[in-house]
Amino acid sequence: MQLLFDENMSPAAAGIFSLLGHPSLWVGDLDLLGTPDEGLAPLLADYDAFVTFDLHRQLSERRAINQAIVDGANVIRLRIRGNEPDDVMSQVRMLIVPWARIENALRNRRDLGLLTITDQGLRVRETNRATVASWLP
Amino acid sequence: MAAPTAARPDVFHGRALPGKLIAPLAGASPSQLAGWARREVLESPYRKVRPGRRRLYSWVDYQKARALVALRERGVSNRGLAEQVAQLDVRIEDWWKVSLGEYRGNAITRRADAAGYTIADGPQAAKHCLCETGQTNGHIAANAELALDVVCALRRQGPLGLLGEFSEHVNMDPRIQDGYPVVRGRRIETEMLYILSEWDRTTEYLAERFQLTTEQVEAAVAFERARAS
Repeated sequence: MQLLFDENMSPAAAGIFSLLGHPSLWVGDLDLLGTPDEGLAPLLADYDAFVTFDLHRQLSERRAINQAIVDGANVIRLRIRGNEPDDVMSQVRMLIVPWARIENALRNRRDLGLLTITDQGLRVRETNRATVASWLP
Repeated sequence: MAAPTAARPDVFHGRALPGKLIAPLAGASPSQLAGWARREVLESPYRKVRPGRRRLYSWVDYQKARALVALRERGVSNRGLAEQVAQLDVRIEDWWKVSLGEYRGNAITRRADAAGYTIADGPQAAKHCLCETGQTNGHIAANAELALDVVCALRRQGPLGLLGEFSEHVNMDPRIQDGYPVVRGRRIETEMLYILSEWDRTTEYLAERFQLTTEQVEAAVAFERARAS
């Protein structure tokens, strides 16, 4: 599995994930910090999943990301609440704890578009592309 | 034959910005925005919002809301507002890009020799001019002066509207993160930094976590505080 980590994730998390056998890159590794949505979105489909961090945005409002999902990208969204930690190891743990399910979903669900991970990796919600398409205004 | 697909709205016309986000930057209230949408002064259609969802506006709506506030400050009556905003569309093509420092895709730079802005057009600068005095190349009709005056005011404020004082470290651009306020030069949303700071993350932690400087973090948090107040 090859993952691309958004710039709101720690670059070290991508490094650790690579050490675990999943060659991963941080957006900054591609010199794309601060790049416009239209520069980033087409790249997402080149990876098995794009990992991003989110606290507050209502998912239906993420127009650029949602459009990329509809166009074929898979997105993993790590979401924390309250005072849950967001340091590097917490980010990695949120991916490792449900990894078997993530990998299975990414490999076998053709209609999968979005995986939302909460509760420190204990909860995973799968959303298909058709649902994401319905969120586009 | 492939089925026809609906044209995608571009980044300037696509709805992505909640009223609560843009209203304080424009100097209006969310209900005023909804009222303008209902009266079709804004381009986004007025729709009922499902519970748990927020009413969304486009970048053009945001700029129109700022223009409406500026026009009201210049004494235009409520009845005349829609007509004056329509004048902007007629007089100045793509005027909603001006606060981003662009006009027709060209960068706007301040002229060294006059109190105005020149729009660089390839090697030939000064082909078009947006002056603070409300004249363009000396050939502008008198009834367009108000429209130009408003557009120049938007240009001076920059994309952050009434909170333009934070523009050194904070930016808004509809092409980056759907137009949400971000740290300048990055895709890190200021709102994310603010919420994490409210959850007792220190400035130093946030700076290291997101590869920012402490000045950037402090400015982002201060911007969000000012927006919320």
